[in-house]
Amino acid sequence: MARQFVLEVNGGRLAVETEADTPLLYVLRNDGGLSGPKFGCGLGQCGACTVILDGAAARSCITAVASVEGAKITTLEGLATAASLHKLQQAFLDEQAAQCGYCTNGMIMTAKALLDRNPHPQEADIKQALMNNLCRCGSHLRVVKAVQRAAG
Amino acid sequence: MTPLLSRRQFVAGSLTVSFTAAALARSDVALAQAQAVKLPGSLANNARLDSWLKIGADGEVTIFTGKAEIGQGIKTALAQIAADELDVSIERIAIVGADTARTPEEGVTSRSFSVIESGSALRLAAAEARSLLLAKAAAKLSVPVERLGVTDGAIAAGQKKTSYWELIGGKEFKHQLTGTAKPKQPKDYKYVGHSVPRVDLPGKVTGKPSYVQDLRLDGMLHARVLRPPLDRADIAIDAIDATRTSAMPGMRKIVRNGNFVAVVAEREEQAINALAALKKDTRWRVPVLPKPEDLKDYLLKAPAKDRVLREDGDVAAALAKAQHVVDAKFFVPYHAHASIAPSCAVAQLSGDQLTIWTHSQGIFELRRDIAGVIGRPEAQIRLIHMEGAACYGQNGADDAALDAALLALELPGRPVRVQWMREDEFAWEPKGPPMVVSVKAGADADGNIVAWDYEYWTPPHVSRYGKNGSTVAIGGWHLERAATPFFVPGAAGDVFARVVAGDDAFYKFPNKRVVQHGVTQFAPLRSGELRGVAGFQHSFAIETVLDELAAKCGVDPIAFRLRFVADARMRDVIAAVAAKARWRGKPSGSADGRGRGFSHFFYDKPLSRAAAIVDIAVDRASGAIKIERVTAAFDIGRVINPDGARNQMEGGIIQALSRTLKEQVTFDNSGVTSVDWQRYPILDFSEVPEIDVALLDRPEEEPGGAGETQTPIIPGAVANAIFDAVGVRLRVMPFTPERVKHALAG
Repeated sequence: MARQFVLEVNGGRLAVETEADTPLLYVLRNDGGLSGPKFGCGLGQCGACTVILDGAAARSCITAVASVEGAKITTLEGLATAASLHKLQQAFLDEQAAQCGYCTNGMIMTAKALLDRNPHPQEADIKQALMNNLCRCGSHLRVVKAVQRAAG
Repeated sequence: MTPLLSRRQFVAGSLTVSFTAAALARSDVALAQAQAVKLPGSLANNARLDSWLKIGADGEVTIFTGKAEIGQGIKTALAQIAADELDVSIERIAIVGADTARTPEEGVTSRSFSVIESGSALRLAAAEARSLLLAKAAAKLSVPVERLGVTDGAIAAGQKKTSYWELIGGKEFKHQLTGTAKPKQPKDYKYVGHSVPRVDLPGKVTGKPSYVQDLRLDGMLHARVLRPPLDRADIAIDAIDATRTSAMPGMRKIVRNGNFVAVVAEREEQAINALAALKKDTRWRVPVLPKPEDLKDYLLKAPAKDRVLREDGDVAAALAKAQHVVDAKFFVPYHAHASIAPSCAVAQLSGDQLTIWTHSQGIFELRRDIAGVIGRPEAQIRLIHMEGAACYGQNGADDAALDAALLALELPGRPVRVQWMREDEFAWEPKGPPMVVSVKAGADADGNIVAWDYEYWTPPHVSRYGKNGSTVAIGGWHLERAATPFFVPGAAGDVFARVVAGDDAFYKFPNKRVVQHGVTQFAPLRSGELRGVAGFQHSFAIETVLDELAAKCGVDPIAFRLRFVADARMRDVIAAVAAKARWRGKPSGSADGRGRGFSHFFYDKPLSRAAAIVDIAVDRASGAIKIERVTAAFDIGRVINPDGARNQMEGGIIQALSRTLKEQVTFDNSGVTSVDWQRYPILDFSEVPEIDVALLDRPEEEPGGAGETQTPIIPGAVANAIFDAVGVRLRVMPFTPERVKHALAG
C-alpha cells in the first residue's frame, strides 16, 4: 500500500506518497525534480544512480524508499555551494573527465564517498573504489586523474 | 590487370545501393552542386544565412546546427569555428542543436562527418556574415572596409565605432550565401586548434538537466513497452491476459495494436511494475534461431549479394608459387553498442501537432520514417534532439522515439515518456554486425607479398531510415498494419570498400582478389552501424595476416608494412607511433609471456590515418591478458580541439579493447541472453591500460574524421601482441582467458 515517506535530501525535506519498495532513484528524479542521479541499469551494476547515504555511496536504483527514512541523502546537486563548485566537480572540469557525461554523476559521488573516508588515496585505491562504476565512452583515465587532482 | 573501380562506379555498378554508399553518392551530388555555386559542407542545401546564425541585440550570437551532440563535443567544436570566423568571444555563442522546426537539415550525425559538414558550413556562413557586417559598418561610418577592425563584435576605425549588435542585432540578414567570403588562415585562429573546454560539461558535473532522460513536462505519463524476446518482425503474441495488470495502481492505459503492447501509468515505478506483471501473463511465438556457436557457419550459408570488389592477376597461381602462405578465417561476433543509458523519448500530441523529444542521430530522416508509420504529414510532426548517453552508432534511440509517438497518439494532450530498461536496450538495440573474413595470402622468399585472396561475409551494417512503408523502428514492425523492417540488404560496411578492395593508395599487392558477401537479411538478430563500421573486423583480419606473414618471413612487423605502404602521411603516422613507443625492430614471437603488437589502418570517408602499438602480458596458466599500454598516433588533418580529439582517441581505444577482449552478444530461442552488465561485461577501471596518444600537427590539411579512426587499429594490435607474447594466433573474438588457454593447449 502506498503511504507517505519523508526524506532528507541535500539538507531539505522531500515528502512523497508511494509504495514502500519504490526505488529511491525514481523518487529523487520524479518527485524531487533532481537530475543528478541517473537511470542506467536499475540493477545496481553500473553506478550511474549513485547517491550518498549517511556518508556511504549507495545505488539509488536498488534502494527502497522505505529504507532511507531518517537517512541523510546527498545527490550531485548537493555538492556545490552557491559560491563554488565542489573540488571534485572542478577537477572533472579541469581534466575534461567526461565524454557523454552520463556516468559522471556516479563517478563523482563514488569518488566523494572515497575522499571523505580516505582524503589521500593511491591510484590503486581510486581504481578499486570505481571498479563497479561503468563508463562506455572510455573516460576512465581522466576520471582517475580528476580524483587525484581533487585529492590534492 | 583490372583497374580499380572508383567508388562512384562501384556504387553505380552494383544492383543494390547501400545506405552508406547512397549517403556518399548523395554527398557527391551535393558536392557537385556545391562546386557549381561554391558552397561546400551542408551549405549546399541550406544557403540562407539566417538559418545558420542570428545576432541578438543583447550581444548574444546564436548558431544553429542540424548535427546532434552525442558526447563527441560537436557543440564546442562548432562554437570554436563560428567564434573565430566572426571575431567574437566564444562565451557569446549559444548553440541550437538539431530541431526539425529550427535548424538546417544536415543528414545523420554519423561516420565522423560532423565537423566536416556542419563545421565547414558554419565556417563559411560566419565568414560571410562578418564581411556583410563590415560592409554595413563601412557605409555607416563612411570609412573603407580595410580600415575597420573587429574585437569581440565591436567594430572600430580610429574614433569611429559601431558593433554587430548595433548593425543587425535582433534582425535577419535576409541573405543567400554565396560562399565568397574568405575564411581565416589557420594561423589567425584564436579558438580553432586550441583545447577549449567543453561547453556542456559544467551542467553535467552539477546535475543540471542535460539529457532527454531529464526532460520533465507537466502532466507527463510514464510508459514501458512489452517487447517480444527477440528483435525480429516474425514474432507474434500467442496469448496475453491483461486482467491483472489493468487493475494495478496508477494504470492509465494498456495499449495494444497488433503485437505492439505498452503500459502507461501515472508514476514511473507503476509502469515498471505493470510491465513486469504483463510480461508474466504473455506468451510469444518465436522463430527458431541458430545457436550462437553456429553463427559463423550460418553467415557463410546465408543468402547474400556477392560482389567481386577487385580481381587482379592470377591469385591461385601466385599462391601456389608463394614461399610463405597464411590461410586463415576470422570471426567477430555481434557486439552491443551498450550505451550507458537505455534509450528514452518523450512525445506529446497537442491538437494535430505531434512533438517528439529524442536522442536520435537523424531527426529529419526519422520524421519521414515515423510519418509513414503513423500516417500523418511530416508538417504535423516536430522532432527535437536532446542528448542521450553516447551511442557509438545506431542504438535504440529511433525505436524509443516511435514508441513514444505511438503512445502519445493514444493519450492526446498528455506528454508520454518511454524509458527502455537495461534489458530492453541489450535485447532490442540493433547489434554491431558480426563478420567472417577468410584470407589466403602469400609472400615470396624475399618477403614480398605476391598473393592476396580476401573474402568476407557480414549482415547489414545499415538499417536506418525507413521509407515507403518500411521503418527503422521496431515498434512499427509489430503493429497490426505492420511496417516492414528497414535495412539495406547486402550493405556490408562499404565505407571500407576502398581500403579492403586494395586501392593501391592503401595496400599495394599484385595478384589480388577481394570478394564481399553482403548478407541480405538480419542474420539472425537485427544489426546496424557500430563505431568503426566494418573497419574493426577488417583491420583485425588484415593486420593479423600481415603480422603473420612478417613473422614467417623473419622480418620486423613495422619494417614489413613499410614495404607496401606508399601513402606518405601514413608512413609519418607509423614512424610517429614507432618512435613514441620506442619500437625496436625485430621479428615478433619471442613467446616470453610479454608481447608488443602493431597495427595500422586507414579510416576511409572521411580519410584519416591511424596506427597503434599495444603492450601486453599473458598469464599462461589462467589465459588472462593484461593490457599494459597502448601507444597510438593519428593524422586527422586539421584538429579543431586537440584535447577533445585526444579524449575521443583515448575513449575509442578503451572501447575497442573492451570489444576485443570481452564482448559478445549471446542469445538462444528464449531471446538475447546478454541483457545486463554481468552477462555483457565491458572493460572496468582495473583493466584500463596507460594510453599515450600522438596527434600529428596538420593545420593546413582539411579535417578528417576523429570519432571512429581509433577503433580499427586495436584488435589486430592486440592479436599480434598475443602472438609475440605466447606464440599463438587468436582469430575468434572475444579473446577471453578460456580462448587463450585453449589456443595454448594447441
